Amino acid sequence: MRYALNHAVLAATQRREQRSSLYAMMPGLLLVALVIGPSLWLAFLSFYANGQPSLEHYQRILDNPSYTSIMLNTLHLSVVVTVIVVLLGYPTTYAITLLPKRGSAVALACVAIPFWTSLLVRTYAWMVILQRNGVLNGWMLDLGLIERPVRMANSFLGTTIGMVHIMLPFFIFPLYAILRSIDPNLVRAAYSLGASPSRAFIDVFLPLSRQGVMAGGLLTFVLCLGFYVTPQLLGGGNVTTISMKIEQNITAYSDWGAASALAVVLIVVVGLILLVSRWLTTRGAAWR
Amino acid sequence: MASSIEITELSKRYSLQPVLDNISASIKPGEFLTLLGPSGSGKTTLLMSIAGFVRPSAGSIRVDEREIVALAPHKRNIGMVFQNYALFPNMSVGENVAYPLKIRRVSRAEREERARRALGAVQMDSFAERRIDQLSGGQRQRVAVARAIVFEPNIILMDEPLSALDKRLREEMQVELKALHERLGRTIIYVTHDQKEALTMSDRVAVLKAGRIRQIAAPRDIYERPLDRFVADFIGDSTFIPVQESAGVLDLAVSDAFRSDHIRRREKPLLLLRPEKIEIASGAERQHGFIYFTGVAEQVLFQGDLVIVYSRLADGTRLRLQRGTRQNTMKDLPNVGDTFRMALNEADAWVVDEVEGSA
Repeated sequence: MRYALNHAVLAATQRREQRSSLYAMMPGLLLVALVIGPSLWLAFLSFYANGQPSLEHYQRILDNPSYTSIMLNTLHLSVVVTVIVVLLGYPTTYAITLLPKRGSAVALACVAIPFWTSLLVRTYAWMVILQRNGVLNGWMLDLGLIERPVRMANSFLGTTIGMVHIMLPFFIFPLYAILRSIDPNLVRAAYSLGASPSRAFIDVFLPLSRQGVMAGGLLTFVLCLGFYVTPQLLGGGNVTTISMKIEQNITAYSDWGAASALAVVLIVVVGLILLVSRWLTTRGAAWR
Repeated sequence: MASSIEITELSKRYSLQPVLDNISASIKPGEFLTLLGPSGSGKTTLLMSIAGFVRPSAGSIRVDEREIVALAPHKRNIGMVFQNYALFPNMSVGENVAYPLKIRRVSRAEREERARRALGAVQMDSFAERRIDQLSGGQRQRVAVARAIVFEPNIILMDEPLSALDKRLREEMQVELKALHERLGRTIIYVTHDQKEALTMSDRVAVLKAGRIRQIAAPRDIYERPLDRFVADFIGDSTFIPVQESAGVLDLAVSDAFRSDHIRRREKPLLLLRPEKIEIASGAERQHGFIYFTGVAEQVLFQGDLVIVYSRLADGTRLRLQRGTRQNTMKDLPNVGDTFRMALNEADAWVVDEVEGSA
């Protein structure tokens, strides 16, 4: 029977390969045990109150109007920051792609270096710049642009400025990868067919960069939703986000259930946004 | 309408390195000119200068007497087919082809009609609704051609448009593009590194090396009467044998001296031997007007339509000879190790110079 030729050896080889791929999965299993497990436990906690299974925490989020306004605050801040990041980041990234090789490497390093600096350090730096007697107010007073110091720290404005600065690299890097991957011959082809540079940009380059804008914008937006340090420090108590409320629930009230419920709501909101954007991009792909 | 192109003393330098070195050429209206050369010869740079994507350092490009060297690319009205086709992935096939008309504010109805006709010219009329990523390489190539001709430019540039296709499809498209050229009558400048493609398609071929045109001539002339060793070597298979010249008689190390009017005298002359011009001479007869030499057969390779014989000449030169595989030509083939005689008609003999000839 020819089928039996070397069958046992080959089957043993296949089993060996399967076993080694199991070993390769070990780090993944570790990740599940250490990260996803505790998260699930926290989510589970949110459905418990006073040792009983209950929806009390969620009920409170729905009933208490302050939660709704915190939620809206967070969304508002995230939308404003994302829009500004896109408007500032796109032209910047586009300009970087136009630079010669060495120039673009230097420009990208300029984007990356603050990105490697501690978040806390950058936030404090913005506090120094934006505060009442800070650097920026000093300059504007000296130049006669303003008559008395403008309140920038401890406000929505200051939080927005600080967050835009921190979020920009998250937008620029993915967008840069996409813009670089666009074949420069496509724009040339548009020129050869009679399109002016601006026309070629609008008809060809911009539509092709859409995915990069979506990816970078989404990353920025989702990071903004859960951001804690910068709104806490630069908002000076005048800006409250969900993440701050979660922290409060734990440090001030030791109420793990309430904190978990808020975290679950945040995760659900992020998930919904991802789903909607995914739907938007796949619909876009069909149009492509 | 086809346009003439007059290129005068065109140069392009990147830092100090000249990419185009004082290039001059006149291209007649309706001509199919191929720029042929190895990579780095400047052929693509020359094409891109005509398209307007490369700004020359100096020189002039005139289209129908009008200077365009400083004109923006989108104002040149020159059709272009790119090496990777450069079709817009965000538009359908029909939208791609209609795009140049849309820019020219042609009405929607006329736009669609003309796009359909252009797609018809390349047998793609039933694909208008397709997305670009649903097309094969050959189909993309056709769409790219349709898009380049739809706005009826007087000049069409093609940058290695067939290099991404497999051999069979490439040969099919060569015939089609040539037919399209005859039908449209536009001036076409075509870039390729494939010498066979250049010979097949062109009215004239310009061979470039290191930013200079070494020779510009009709395919038959450039193949049979190359100006120098580089051109001869680049187009077709060639073997070179040094020749001594004295008083109009050429003395070949591996053969008797011979005399020919067809042979151009050069400073350091080399006899050019093409594999298909050499005959196997059986027996010992000597006909007038033939150059005879002997070699030892080293390899005999049967290729179906051709049989190739590699032999070693007396001076150590390895020579390639090829002939068809009809029964009568297969009969007197040498066996490996045999010493055999070969003959070259003096009319087929051509002497080139070792060093660069003046184009």
